[in-house]
Amino acid sequence: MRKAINIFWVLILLGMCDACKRTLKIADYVRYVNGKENGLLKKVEVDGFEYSVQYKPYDYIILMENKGSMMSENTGKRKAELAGTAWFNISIKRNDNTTTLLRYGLSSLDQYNTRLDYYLNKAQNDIWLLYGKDTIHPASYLFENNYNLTPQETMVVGFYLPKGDNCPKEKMQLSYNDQVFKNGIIKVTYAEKILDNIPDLTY
Amino acid sequence: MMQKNERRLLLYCLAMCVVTGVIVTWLINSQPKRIAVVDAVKLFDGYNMKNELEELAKRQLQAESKQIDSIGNALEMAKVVHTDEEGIKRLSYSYDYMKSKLQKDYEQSNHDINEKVWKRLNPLLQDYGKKKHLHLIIGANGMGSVLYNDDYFDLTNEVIKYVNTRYAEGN
Repeated sequence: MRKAINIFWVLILLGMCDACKRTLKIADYVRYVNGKENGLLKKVEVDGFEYSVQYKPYDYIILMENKGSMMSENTGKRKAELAGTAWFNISIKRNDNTTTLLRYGLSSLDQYNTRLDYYLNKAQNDIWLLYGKDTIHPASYLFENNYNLTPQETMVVGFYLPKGDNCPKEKMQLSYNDQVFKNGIIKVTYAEKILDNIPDLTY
Repeated sequence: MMQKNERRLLLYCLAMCVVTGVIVTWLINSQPKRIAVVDAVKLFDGYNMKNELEELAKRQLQAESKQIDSIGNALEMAKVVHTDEEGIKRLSYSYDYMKSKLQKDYEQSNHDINEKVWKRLNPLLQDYGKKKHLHLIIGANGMGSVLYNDDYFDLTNEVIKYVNTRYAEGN
């Protein structure tokens, strides 16, 4: 009987450890999200190009929007707005950082304009997300035009989650079919475990 | 007549020879494979990215093909009802143009898929070779480069599994 009670308590303790999520302060939280080892930032290298896909939890988005602060009055409202969506940054650059993607390997202004037009207006058609078993297409897309000031170009892409999920809970696989540099389909996978392990933010 | 001790020594030597033989054979067979044969066609066809790119290209080409069918139908109708010659000429020109465009697009898409797939497969094969400490990976493609290989050296299925896992996980 005593043995059974001991086992029961051990199981209860294990359950409690599993249930309580890690909490991090702002700086550590940002470091966690940006750290490749934590699985929220994925990098794929193909033929001298580096594709980085950053999954952005809601708290991270709000932190970035409020310049690292969660004290804004609108934080709760913003969180409610973001509920039911999943957001990613897809960044592309040359490995050697020599030139911006918009100018890489071009020989005329026409080619530059075609490429810019692709990233501004068409690239969203080449991005999709496999959420669980559902394939979903972007609900929101923005190309951050940095006017050739940095070698890295970034696409911000957002999806509405199916099945009324409040936040991403199932395995996600983001795909981007690179039409410009003919590098094929870039895929990154976020396992459920990675999403479960995202710590809570304390401030 | 052999003495008892001599017989024992002879038996002992024979036993040692057998044991040495078994150990040498085991050592030779347990050496890691340093050469692998991969069926390049099977690998290409088994790579998931190739199939996904083909599916995407198929949608585009099917849309073009439907347009050609519509123009073809309109042309047939125009010929039957004998509308103006100029209209028939224009439809005929459009029909021929679209047909040749479809052919070109089909060839271009095949070329692009080939290029994209090998661009991804080549570094993955290099990684695989390094990981498995292989000195050589021979690509068999049914064109006579490899005339025969048994299953021992054929790692095609293992390589397909490896490249597809890397592709799904992000590379």
